[in-house]
Amino acid sequence: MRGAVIILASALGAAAVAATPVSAAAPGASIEDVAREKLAAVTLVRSKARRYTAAIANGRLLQAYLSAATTAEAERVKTRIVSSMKAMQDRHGLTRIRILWRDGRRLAETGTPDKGPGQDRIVKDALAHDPGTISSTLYGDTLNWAAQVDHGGQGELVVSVGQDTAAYERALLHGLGSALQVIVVNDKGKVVSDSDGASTPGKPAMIAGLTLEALRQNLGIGGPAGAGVVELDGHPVRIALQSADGWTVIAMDKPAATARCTGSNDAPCR
Amino acid sequence: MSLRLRIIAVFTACIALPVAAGWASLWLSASNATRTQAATTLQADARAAMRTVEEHLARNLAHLKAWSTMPMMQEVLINDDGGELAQALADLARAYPDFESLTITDARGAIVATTDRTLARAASYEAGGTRAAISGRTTQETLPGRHSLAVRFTVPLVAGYDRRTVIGTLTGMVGLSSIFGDMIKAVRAEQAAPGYALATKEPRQVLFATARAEAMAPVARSLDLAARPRPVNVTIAGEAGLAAIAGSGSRILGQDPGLAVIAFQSRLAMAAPAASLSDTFLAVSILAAMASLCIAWRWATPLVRLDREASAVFKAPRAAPGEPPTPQDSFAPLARAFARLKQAREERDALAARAQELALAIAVARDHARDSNERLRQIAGGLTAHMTEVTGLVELINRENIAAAGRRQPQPRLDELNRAALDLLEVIREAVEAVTDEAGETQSVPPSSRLPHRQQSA
Repeated sequence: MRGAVIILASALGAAAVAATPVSAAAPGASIEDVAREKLAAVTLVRSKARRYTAAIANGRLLQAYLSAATTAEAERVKTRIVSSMKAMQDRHGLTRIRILWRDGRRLAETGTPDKGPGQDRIVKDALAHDPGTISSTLYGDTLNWAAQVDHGGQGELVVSVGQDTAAYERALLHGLGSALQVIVVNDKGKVVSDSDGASTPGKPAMIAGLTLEALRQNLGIGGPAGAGVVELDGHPVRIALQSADGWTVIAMDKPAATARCTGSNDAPCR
Repeated sequence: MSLRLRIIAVFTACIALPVAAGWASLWLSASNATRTQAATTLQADARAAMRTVEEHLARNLAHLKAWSTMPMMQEVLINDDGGELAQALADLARAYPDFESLTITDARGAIVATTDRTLARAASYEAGGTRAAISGRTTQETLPGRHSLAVRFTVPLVAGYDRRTVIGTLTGMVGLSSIFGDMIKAVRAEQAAPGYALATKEPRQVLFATARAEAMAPVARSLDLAARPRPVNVTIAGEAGLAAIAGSGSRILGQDPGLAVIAFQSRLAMAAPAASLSDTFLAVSILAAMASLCIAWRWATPLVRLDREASAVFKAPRAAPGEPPTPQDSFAPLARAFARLKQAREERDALAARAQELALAIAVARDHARDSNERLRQIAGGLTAHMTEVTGLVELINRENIAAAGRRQPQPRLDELNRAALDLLEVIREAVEAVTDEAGETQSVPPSSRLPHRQQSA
C-alpha cells in the first residue's frame, strides 16, 4: 500500500514537473527546444506572408475591380487596392507586392522594384498551381508568395508577394545564443535563411558538410523531428531537426572556433 | 375651567405622555441599535471595499492571463516583427485604463513591445517578477507606479506549439488610483457613506482617501492595519467616530498585495438614522395628536351641551336650556336620558309636595277628629248625666204619681210631666247614641283609607 502511494505521488510529481512551463532560453534547454522554438517562429513568419497574400487575393477589392462597369470606377477601386497593399508593405519582410494579369501585364505594384523575379516567371509559376492555393517559390533571397484570383471561372489575376528572407533571419536570430546556428531549408532542400549568414539563400543546404537528406540518414531521423550528434572537424556537433509544412529547421552548435558569446568576455557559450 | 378645556387638556395629556415616552424609548433604543448597526455596517463596508479592490486586481490579472493565451502573443517569437504586438498592446491599454502600462518581453527578459514610454528604449525589463514569470509562475508585486502605488502582474507567455515552453512574459502595471476610484464608485451608494482610505500595511501609509487624507495618515500609522476584526474609536480632524479596517488577503489574488482599507464614520453620521427615525416619529405623533385634538374638540361639543343640560337639571334650574342634541351626535341617547330624568325629577318633586300637603291635612284632620270625639264624649257624658237626672226625675214623678194614685188623688200634671220627661229622655238617648256612633265611627276609620279621603277632602 505504501509503495503504491509512493509510486502515485512520484507520478503526480513528475506530471506536475512536466506540466510546468519552461523556457527554451533557460540554461540547460536542449537544442531540440531551440529547433522547436525556431520552427514555430518560422512558421509564424510564413503564415503571416501567406495570410497577407490570401487577404489580397481573396479580398473583395479585386473582385470589385474586375466587375467594375466603368473605367472610372475601376480606377477608384484600384486606388484602394494599392492603399491596402501599402498597408502590408514592409511587414514581415514583405518587400514587393504585385498584382499581375494572367498575360503578365502589371495591374498594381508597391515596394522595391528591383527585388524578386520577373513578372512572366511569377505568372507562369503561379498558374502552374491549382487555383485557390497559395504557392511559395524561392527566388534567391526572396520568397515569392503567389495566388490566383479567380474570375469568370479562370485565374484572371495573380497576386505576388515578395518576402525578403531577412525576415526569417531576424526570427532565427531573436534570442538565439551565439553558440548556436539555425538554418531553414525549404521542401526543395534549398536554404531559406541562415542565422549565421554562412549559407546563401536559394542554394542547396549543406549542414556540417552534408545535404539535408544525407544528414537525416546520418542521424537516423525518419520523422519530422529528431536530434543527434555529428563529427565536424573532429568536434562533436549537436544537431536537431524540426519539420513542418515541408520546411525544416536545423538547430546546431556552431563550430568551436566561432562560438563566442558576445558581451560575456568571450566565454564559450553553452 | 370649561369642560371643553378640561377635555382637551386630558386628551393632550393622554396623548403627550405616551408620545413622549415612546419618543424617548425610540430614541434610546434606535440610537443604541443604530450605533451597533453602524459599527457592523462600517466593518462590512470596509471589507466590501477591500474585496472590491482585490476583485478588481484579480479581474485585471484574469485579463492578463487571457491575453497571454491569445495567438497573437506567439509573435514574441519573432520579436514583434511587423509591430502587431505593439499595436495590440496600445489598443488593450486604451480599452483597459486600469493598466498603467503593458509590457511584453521575450524569454530572456528583453522587451519586445511596451506601452510604457520610459521602457521603450530599454533593452530588458529588470524586474524580479519577469524572471520568475520566465520560470513559468505568475508573479505579483506592489511597487511605485506612474501616479502612486501600482500592482505589477507578470504572467508567462507559453508557446503554442507545445503548451509548455515559456516564450516570453506579459506584464501589466495596474494603478491603484483608478482602482480606488472604482472602489469609491462601488461602495458610495449611500449619501451617508463613510470616508474611505486605501493604505499599505507596511509601511503604514495612506495612499488615497476620500476626505481628510492628511488627518487620516497619523491614524493609519497608529493602527494595526494587519488585523482589526472590530471597529475602533478614533478621532480624525477633531471629529470622533469609528474606524473599521479591512486588510487584503491571499484568498482572491493568491498573494497578499499588502493593502488595507480604512473606513471612517463620524458619530454624528452614525446617529443620523436614529435622529431621522425619532424626528419622523415625532412629526407623525404631532400630526396624530392634532388629529386627536380635532376629534376631541368634535366629541367635546355634545359633551359640553350635555354638561349644559346636566347643569340645567342638577345645578342651574333657571339656566336657559341648550339646544337639543341632533340624532347624529354620539351623546344623543345620553341627552335623551337626561331629559327623561329631568322630567321624572319634576314629577317626583310635585308628588313630594303633594304628599307633604296631604300629610299636613291628615294631621289637621286627626286633631280635628280628636277634638270632635272629645267634645262628643263630653256631650255624651253631659247627656248621660242629664239623662240620669231626667231618669231620676221620671222616677220621682212616677213615685209621686204612684203615691197620688194610692191616695186616690189623680195628678194629671204629673202624667204630662212624666211623658215630657220620657220624651226628653228619648231625645237624650238618641243624642247619646248619635254622638257615640259618631265617635265610634271616627275611631274605627283606618289611617290608610282615611288619607285619600282626607286628601280628597283636602
